[in-house]
Amino acid sequence: MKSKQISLKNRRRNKPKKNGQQVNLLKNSTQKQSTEYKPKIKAKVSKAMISDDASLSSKYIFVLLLVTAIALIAIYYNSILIYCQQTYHSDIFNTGSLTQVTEQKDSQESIEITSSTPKDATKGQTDVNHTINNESLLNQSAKNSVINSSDETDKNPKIIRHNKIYEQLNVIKQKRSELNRKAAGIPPLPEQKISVVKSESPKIDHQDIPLIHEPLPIVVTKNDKVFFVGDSLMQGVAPYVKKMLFKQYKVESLDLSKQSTGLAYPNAFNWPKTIDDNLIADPAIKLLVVFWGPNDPWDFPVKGYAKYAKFKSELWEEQYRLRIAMVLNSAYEHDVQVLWLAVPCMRKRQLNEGMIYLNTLYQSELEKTQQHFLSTNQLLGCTYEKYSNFIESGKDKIKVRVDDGVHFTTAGQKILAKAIMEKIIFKQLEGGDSD
Amino acid sequence: MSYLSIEFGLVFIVFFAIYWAFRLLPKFQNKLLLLSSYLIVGSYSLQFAVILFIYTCAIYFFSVMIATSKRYARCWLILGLSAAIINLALFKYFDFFRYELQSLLNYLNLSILLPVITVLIPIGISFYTFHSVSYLVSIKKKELSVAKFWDFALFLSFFPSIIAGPINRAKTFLPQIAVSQPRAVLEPYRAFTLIVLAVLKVYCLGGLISENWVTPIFSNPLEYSTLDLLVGLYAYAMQIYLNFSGYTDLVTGIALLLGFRLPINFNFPYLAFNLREFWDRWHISLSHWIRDYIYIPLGGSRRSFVRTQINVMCAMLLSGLWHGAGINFIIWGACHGVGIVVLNVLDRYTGRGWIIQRSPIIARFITWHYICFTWLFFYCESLPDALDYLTALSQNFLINSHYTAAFLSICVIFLVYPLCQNIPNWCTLQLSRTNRGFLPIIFIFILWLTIYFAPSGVPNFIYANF
Repeated sequence: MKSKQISLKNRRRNKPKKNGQQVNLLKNSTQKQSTEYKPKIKAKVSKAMISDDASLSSKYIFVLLLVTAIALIAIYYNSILIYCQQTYHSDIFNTGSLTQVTEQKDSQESIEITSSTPKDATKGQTDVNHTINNESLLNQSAKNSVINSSDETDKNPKIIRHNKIYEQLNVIKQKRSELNRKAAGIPPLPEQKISVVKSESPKIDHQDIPLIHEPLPIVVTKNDKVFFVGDSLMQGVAPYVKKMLFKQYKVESLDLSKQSTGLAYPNAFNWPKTIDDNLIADPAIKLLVVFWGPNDPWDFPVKGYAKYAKFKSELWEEQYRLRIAMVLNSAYEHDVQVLWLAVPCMRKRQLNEGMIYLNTLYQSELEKTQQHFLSTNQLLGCTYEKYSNFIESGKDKIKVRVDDGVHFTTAGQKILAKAIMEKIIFKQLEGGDSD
Repeated sequence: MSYLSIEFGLVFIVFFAIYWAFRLLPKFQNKLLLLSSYLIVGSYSLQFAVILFIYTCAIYFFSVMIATSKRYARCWLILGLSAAIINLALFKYFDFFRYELQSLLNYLNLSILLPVITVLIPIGISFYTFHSVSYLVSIKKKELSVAKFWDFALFLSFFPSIIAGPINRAKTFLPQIAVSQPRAVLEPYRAFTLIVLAVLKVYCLGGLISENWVTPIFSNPLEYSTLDLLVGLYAYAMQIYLNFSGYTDLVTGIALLLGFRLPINFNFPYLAFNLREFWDRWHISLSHWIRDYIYIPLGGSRRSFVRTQINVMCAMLLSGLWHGAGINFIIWGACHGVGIVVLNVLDRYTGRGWIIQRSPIIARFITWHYICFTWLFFYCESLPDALDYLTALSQNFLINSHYTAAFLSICVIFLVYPLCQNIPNWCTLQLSRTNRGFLPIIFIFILWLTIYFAPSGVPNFIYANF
C-alpha cells in the first residue's frame, strides 16, 4: 500500500506540468485538503489524479451521462416497461387512457389471442391459458351459471364440460375431506369461522356460490413444510411464524415473500408460476400461507387488449379471479391446504376501499375451494370504516401499524403470526419420532 | 425518490444540463439546488418540506441571536441546541418513550394522559439536525459569520446529503455554497468511479447478498447450523457496508459532479485492527461529529481514566440511539461502548496495540467478529430475536450446513480484502488515462453487467430510515 502511494507521488513529481490551469487546480486541491478533514491515504492518492481530470467539461459529462442513460434504457427496455407498470400502474409509452375495452368481453377467445408482449408476460399468459383449460375458469363460469345457468351452458359446450369437471372435483374434494377428517380424528369445525369471515368485509354486495363445505382443519406433521408467499406484509409476518413453527413443532418452512409483488403484474413477478414450481419441487409442502393485496388495486394490462383493464372492471375482476384460482388450483393439485390472510384496513381511503374489494374476491374464491380465509382487522384493532395504528390491550394501547398506514410494527407482526399459528393443528406422527 | 431509481437518473441528467448552463451564475445555481432539494424532500411528503423550512427559519433565528448578542450568546446557543434536540426527539423518539413516560406518570399518580399521536418521521431529520448543530456551534465559536438565509437553507437541505448523510460541517460546507466565482465539476473521473461503484455495491453485490444469504438465514435462524449462522452474520455485515458505503459513494459522486465536495464517510472499515480504528473508518462523518460535539464537551480523555470510559459509553449509547428509537440500537451502541472500554483497559495494562504488534491478522479477525456480533442487534428489532439467533449459533453444531460454499467464499474475501484497498483509486486512474471516446462504452458495459446480475427491484437505503 505504502509503496503504491510513493510511486503515485513520484509519478506526479516527475510528470511535466501540462499547463497553468492544472497547476492552479493542484494548488487549490492542496489547500482544500488542509481545510477539509479526509482520510490521509485517499486524499494523497486523489491529488495525484486531479491533474488528469482538469479538462473534462460539463458539456462532455452531460453527453456522456445522456448516452449512457439512453443505451441502458434501450438495453433494459422491457424491464423498464415492467417497472413502470408496477410503479405507475400504466404503460408510459402508451398514451391512451386507462379504460376497459368492454366490447371484447368474450373471455374465451380474447385470452387465447397472442400478442407481442415481453417474454415473461407471455409465460404468465401461458399459465393463464393453462388454468382456463382446467378448473379456474370454471369457477368464473360457475359463478355465471348461478346468475344465468341454463342460457350460458346451452351456448357453450366447453363450459358444460368444464362444469361437469368442476362438479367432479367437488365430489372428489368431499370424499377427500371425509377421509382426511377420519384419518385426523378431528371433529368438524364449528360454524363460527363463517361469521368471522363475513365480519371482515362488511360492505360485501357480492353474490357468490354458497359454501358447500367448511374448510378442513389445517393439520401439519413434523414431516410437512409450510410455504409462505406474499408481499412486504408477509415479509414481516412470515419470519415469526417460521420461528414459532420450528420452536414449537420442529416444522420447517419456506418463505419466498417479496416486497412490491402481488397478482396484478405477473410479468414483474409471476406468483402463480412460482408457487406451482415450488409445490412441484418440494412435495413436503402441505400448507400454503398467502398474504397479498396492497400492491394490486390498480389497472393492469391484459393480453389481447390494447388498453389497461380498469381496476374493479369486469375484465379486471375476471383476470384477477383467474390468478387467484390458479394459485388455489396449484395447491389443490398438490394436495396442499391454503390459509389466506385478509388484507387489513389501510389508512389511505382509496387503498382501503381497494382492499375491501380485493377481500371479496379472495374470500369468494376460497369459499369455492373450501380453503381458509383469516380475518385480520379484529386482530389489529381496526375496521374498514375506522383505521387505527393502535390496538387497545387493557389500559394500554399497543402500536401495531407503522406510520405509513400500511405495514405492521413488530407487535403487529407477532399478533398476526400467533393468529396463523392458532389456525394450525400439529399432529404427531405415529411411531413417536415427533415432539 | 430513490437516488438509484430510473426516475432520479433521468431527472438528474436534465438538472445537470440546466445547472451547468448557469455556470457563470453560482448564486442562481444555489437557487436551483435549493429548489430541487425541497422538491425531493416534498416528493416524500409535503409536510416534510414545510417542517424543514420552519426548522431552517428557527435555527437561523438562533444563529442570528448568537452572533448579535454579546452577553447572552451562550444562552442563545443552549436555546438553539435545545430546540434542535427537542424537535428531533419529538419526531423520532416520542413514540418510543411514550410507554415509559406514561408508566412514570401513572407511578407518580399524575392524571396526565400522553396523546397517542401518529407522526411520520421527517426524511433526513437526523442528518439536518446534526448539520444545524455544527452551524450553531461554529457561529458561537466565531469560526463562521452568519450565513445568508438562503445559503443556510441550502446547507441544511442540500439534496445529496439530506437523506442519509454524510454529515456536513458548516465550517467546510457553507464556504462551498457562498462562492462568487464560477464552480467547476470536481474530479469527474473519481465521481464516475464512485457512481459506478455505488451501483455495483448497492444494486448488485448488496442485493445478491441480502437476497441469498441474509434474508433466508435471519428469517429463521433456528433451522440453520452454526456455520450457516456465521455466514448470516458475516453476510449482514457485508450487506450493510455495501449498502451504506455505496449510498455514500453515489451522493459523493453526484456532489462532485455539481461542484461540491462531501466529507468522506468510509475507509475500508473491516480492515480495522481494533474497534477504535473501526470508528475511524466507519461512518466517519458521524463518529467525528460525536467526538467533537458529545465526547469532547463531556470531557473527552482529559479527565480521569474512569471518567474517560464513562464518556465513551455515553457517546456510544447516544450514537446507538441516534440510529433509531429502539432497544436494539441502544444495545448495539452499548456493545460498541463496552468494546472500546475493554480495549482501553487492555491498552492500559498490556500497552497500546499489544495484539496488533504480535499478529495483525488475529487483531483484524477478532475485530471483524466482534463487529459482526454487534450487527446482530442492529438487524434484529427485538432482543428475543437476537437471543434466538445467539442460542442457535451456540447450539446448532450438529445440523447439516447449507451454506458451506458461502462460508468458504467469505473466508477468501476476508483474506484478499486488504488487496481491494486501492481499487477505487486504481479505477479512477485507469479511467483518466482512457480515451474519452471509449468512456461511454466502458460505463454502459459495466452498468449493463451489474444490472444484469442484480436482483430485481430498487434496493432500499438502510440508513435512509435513520
